Amino acid sequence: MDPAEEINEEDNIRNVQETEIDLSDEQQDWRFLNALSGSNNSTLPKRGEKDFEPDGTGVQDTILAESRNAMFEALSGERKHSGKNHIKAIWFPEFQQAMVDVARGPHFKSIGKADSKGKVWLQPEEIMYLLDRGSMECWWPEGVPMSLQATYATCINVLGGIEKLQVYENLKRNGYLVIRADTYHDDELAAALESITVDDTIEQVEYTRTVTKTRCFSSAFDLLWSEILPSIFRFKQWANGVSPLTPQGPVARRKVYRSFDNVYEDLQIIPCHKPPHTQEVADLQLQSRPLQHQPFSITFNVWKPSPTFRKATPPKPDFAVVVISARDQKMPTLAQTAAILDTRPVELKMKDKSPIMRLKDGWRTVVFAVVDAGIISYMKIGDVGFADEKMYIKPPAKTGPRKPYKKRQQKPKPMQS
Amino acid sequence: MRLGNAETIEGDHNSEVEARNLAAAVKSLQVTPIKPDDDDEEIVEEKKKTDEAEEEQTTTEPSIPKIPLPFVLDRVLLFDLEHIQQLRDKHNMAGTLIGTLPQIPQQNIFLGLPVELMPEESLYLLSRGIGYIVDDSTVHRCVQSEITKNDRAQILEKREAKKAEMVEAYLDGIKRKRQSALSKKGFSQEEIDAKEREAETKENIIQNKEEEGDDKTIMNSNLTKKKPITVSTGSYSLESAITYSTPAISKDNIPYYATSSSYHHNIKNAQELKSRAIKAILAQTTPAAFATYAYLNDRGYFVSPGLRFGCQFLAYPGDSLRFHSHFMVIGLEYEEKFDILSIVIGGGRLGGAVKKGMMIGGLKSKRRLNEGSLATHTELKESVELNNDWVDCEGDVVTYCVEWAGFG
Repeated sequence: MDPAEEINEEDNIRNVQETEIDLSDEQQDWRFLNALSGSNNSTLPKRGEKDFEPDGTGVQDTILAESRNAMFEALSGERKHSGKNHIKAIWFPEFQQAMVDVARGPHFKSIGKADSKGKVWLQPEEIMYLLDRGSMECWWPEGVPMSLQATYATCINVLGGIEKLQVYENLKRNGYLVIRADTYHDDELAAALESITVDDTIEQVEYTRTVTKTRCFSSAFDLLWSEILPSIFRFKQWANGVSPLTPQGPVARRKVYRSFDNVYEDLQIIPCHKPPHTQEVADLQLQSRPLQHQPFSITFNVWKPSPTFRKATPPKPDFAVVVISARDQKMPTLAQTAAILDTRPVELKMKDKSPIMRLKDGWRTVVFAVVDAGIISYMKIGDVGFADEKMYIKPPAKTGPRKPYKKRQQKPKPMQS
Repeated sequence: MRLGNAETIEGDHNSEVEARNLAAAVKSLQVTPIKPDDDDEEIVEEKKKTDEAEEEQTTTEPSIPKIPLPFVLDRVLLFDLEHIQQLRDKHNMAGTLIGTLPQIPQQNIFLGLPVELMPEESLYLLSRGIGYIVDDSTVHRCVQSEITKNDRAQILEKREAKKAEMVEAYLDGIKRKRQSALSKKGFSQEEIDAKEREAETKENIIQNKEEEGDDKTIMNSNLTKKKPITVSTGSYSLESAITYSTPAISKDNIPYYATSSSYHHNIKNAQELKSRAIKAILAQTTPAAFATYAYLNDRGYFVSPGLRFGCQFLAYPGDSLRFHSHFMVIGLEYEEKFDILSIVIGGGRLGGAVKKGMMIGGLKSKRRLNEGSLATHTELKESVELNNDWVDCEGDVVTYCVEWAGFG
């Protein structure tokens, strides 16, 4: 589905009905859209039609001047909405949120949170988004409308990084439904704590150590896996004439190899990461982990547009986005990434997918949005079990009748910068 | 009184600004003698050195007032189109648009205000004396706290007048449309006039009724209850005649902000706030990155963030609106060791694939601060001295270009 279709019908140039247009600005708007959609090539900087370098010709200067003028003209466009859809919000510095006078229009399907009195309250990024696109007015508590500059200066101090606003707006412009995650402020908390901790590398090593330890013996279930089952297996091996694997070898432990499967099996001597395939296993792992504030946490939950979406009872999010500032933060370490992935639900549908898809998508996923001075780059990180997929086993021969792989439905529009 | 202090910081020839500052001083009844500016000549000299390509402008530049750089949270965000244009035209600086373009809000290709400046860009403007930092949150808090009832009434009155204008224009439009429609149908001018009078009385009745009911129907912005006016061309409601718009800059809707250049220096703790802002900007970059940026900008390159190509900057030979970037740039200390793999993978191969060279800028012989241009900016100097890394943050940069040879 084209996300653009979902949002405000008023914004959709294809759906504009004549009766809905404010006649006085109809002309102006269309001229504008024509210029921007590229039918008037001379005025618009289109991608991929640039020159190599300045050659000093008048033609080039003229085109550049026109491009600049078109841009500045576009930038001086008003942020406005018709009185019919007028929305007014008042900023409350005490709550660091804005209250909407009368919440109407399609935006409030996914934006804002209603209190017990039915008044809708907006977070700073939601205020900025609605204001930026001209769908709302924001007022000082003193009863005077704010400018865009004033709103930025006033509201975003509590945002915890302008990158978060940029990612929010970028996703909203692409048509996604975006709501703050519960862990929105966790990274700031961690940053505050970090200034207290002396050496976080030691802490990190400590962290991984406890993880590996607790992972092994956290429950009877794990004990079964890590101790009892292998011992049974070893007994079986011994009965079959397979000598046990010692640190000194040998790798080829059987007297006779009758299939390649056995060869590959015996070659698997390097321990490797296995992502949890069920939520229960994942929960057990999470419980055994010491609670710790991570410098990275899920910032936004993101949904593909859906007509049945309800902000009060949202479904499971389609994506979880972690906002990372390229200027202030380093790429998350393996331990930090693992900690983020641990908070994500296991994708249960994954077991019905083909091995290749499982390797591509991973059992748990998170999206990193890296922001550098206003430019955003999205990366999908998946918890992938390469050791889980035995590529030497031919699917039909070994696993018997299997559901034919359903052709995947059209992939969601990839997020791009 | 901070005024004298502010004047030295500004180092400005502009008589207007001086006059404004003077007026502000008179207003506060604490006239302090304005110190003669020793820095001015230095600035001009510095300009000549750095802006060889823009020699003609050197003479006119001092008359241009400094650009206020609104600092919000930890970034510099520009809202004033005039300033954005000025930076683009004169200082090879484009910044990054980060807002939504209100005309077509559902896309990410053409973005709108504000413009975010990279820390290097902000620092460049500060060090060259082109701009000065304003803690925008604090300024707005001050402005906000000084809004009186009177101001409020004035602002709202203006708003209502604008609304009334819009309604009038709208009704005029309908009238004209109606008349042309009638004349097309073949009515004579007299008949049209008669119909017009009829319609007008109708409108008047409706309007009178509204005025009787509540004199401020329009003013109250409680337009939901309003009845649609029925005219011969169909049914319209006055609500759709009115548009509500939000101006980009505070200057346009808060009277105080217009004179805020005096504000910028007179707010409490102005110096402290400024040096806090500058420290925050310094923390986001490195001396080598800044030196490389300044080197390229001085030579006419437009420099943008390089995240899309996994480098620090992209360097464009001219305005990035018109030209493709030539270089993927990384700024390093001259003796700094780096991983050879980063050249092969990060720069060489990718750069080759996208037809860009990988440029490594090495900051070589550093100049002491008092020799470098950073010293011309008092505030910056103070902040820089607090942070030792930055003591000599500008100097000779040597650039190297790596290209994927692609043998075989």
